[in-house]
Amino acid sequence: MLENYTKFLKDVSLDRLKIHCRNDNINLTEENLQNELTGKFYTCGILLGNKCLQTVLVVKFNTLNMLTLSSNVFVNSNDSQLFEETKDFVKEFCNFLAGHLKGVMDNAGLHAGLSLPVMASQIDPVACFGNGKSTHEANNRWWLYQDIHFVELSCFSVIKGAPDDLLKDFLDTIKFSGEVKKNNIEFF
Amino acid sequence: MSKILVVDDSTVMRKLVIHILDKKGHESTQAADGQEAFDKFDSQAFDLIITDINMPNMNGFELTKKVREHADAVKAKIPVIVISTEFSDKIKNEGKDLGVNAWIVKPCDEDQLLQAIDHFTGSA
Repeated sequence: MLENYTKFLKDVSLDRLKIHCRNDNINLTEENLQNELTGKFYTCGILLGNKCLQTVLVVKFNTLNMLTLSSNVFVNSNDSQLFEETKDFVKEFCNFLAGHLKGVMDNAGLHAGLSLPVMASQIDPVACFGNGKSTHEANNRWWLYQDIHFVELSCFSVIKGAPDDLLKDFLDTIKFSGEVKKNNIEFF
Repeated sequence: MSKILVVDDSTVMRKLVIHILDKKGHESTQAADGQEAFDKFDSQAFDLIITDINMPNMNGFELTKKVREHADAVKAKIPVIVISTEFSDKIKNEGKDLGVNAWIVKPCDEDQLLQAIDHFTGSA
């Protein structure tokens, strides 16, 4: 039941990272690129969902890889700022990704909440949700990379209880339709 | 040239927006959350506020509400532009009801931002 949803997340993650890094040369793979840990890794997590569908998105990266993928962005930063700005950059990426999903869910009538992104270093992500038996769950991992530089994404999604028709329809039909288009300004 | 308050918990996003504003000769002040922004808004004069929504301490909606309730009726009318990852009709309507004047969905396009600023301040 979560296959379309997970595929959608993967497709949007690639699209969003390309836009965020201003780099069209990033690709997606489900082949494990993490052969050995080198350097210091950070993990950034964000929670999204409502009482029925809950998702934890986690981005795992090291600053060298992230800086390489996003080299088109950090043109005005000096060396002493880059380390902290890279972590901030990944938090923003989590916001882009989860924010887009939240918007899609909201517009489908499935009003979802969103946490602030949380950054940690070299800690296995642990996500706990409230009470309720999960009827479906999906745990996926994928990598967004250019050459030898990559970031790893994990996604853990659960459905609590019996999904209603609205949620079932959403999960059956959700699909990434192509590059996320720029939105015009809206004046109120 | 306008005096603009830029509010976002992301240093990278603030730098991006300020870089755009600097190029056009606008004077910018930064804040990392809604509370810091309101404190600066309260004590200084600005022509425009550009704010994110999801921030710690005080979010962009709470900031907008406080601005609109300010005792100084002139200050309370300051234009507020939201730049956010959020784009659903529900959230935009919520912003509109609180007094947000314009909404730009991230990633922020330079031309869009300058167009919005010009719309409210008349300074291209």
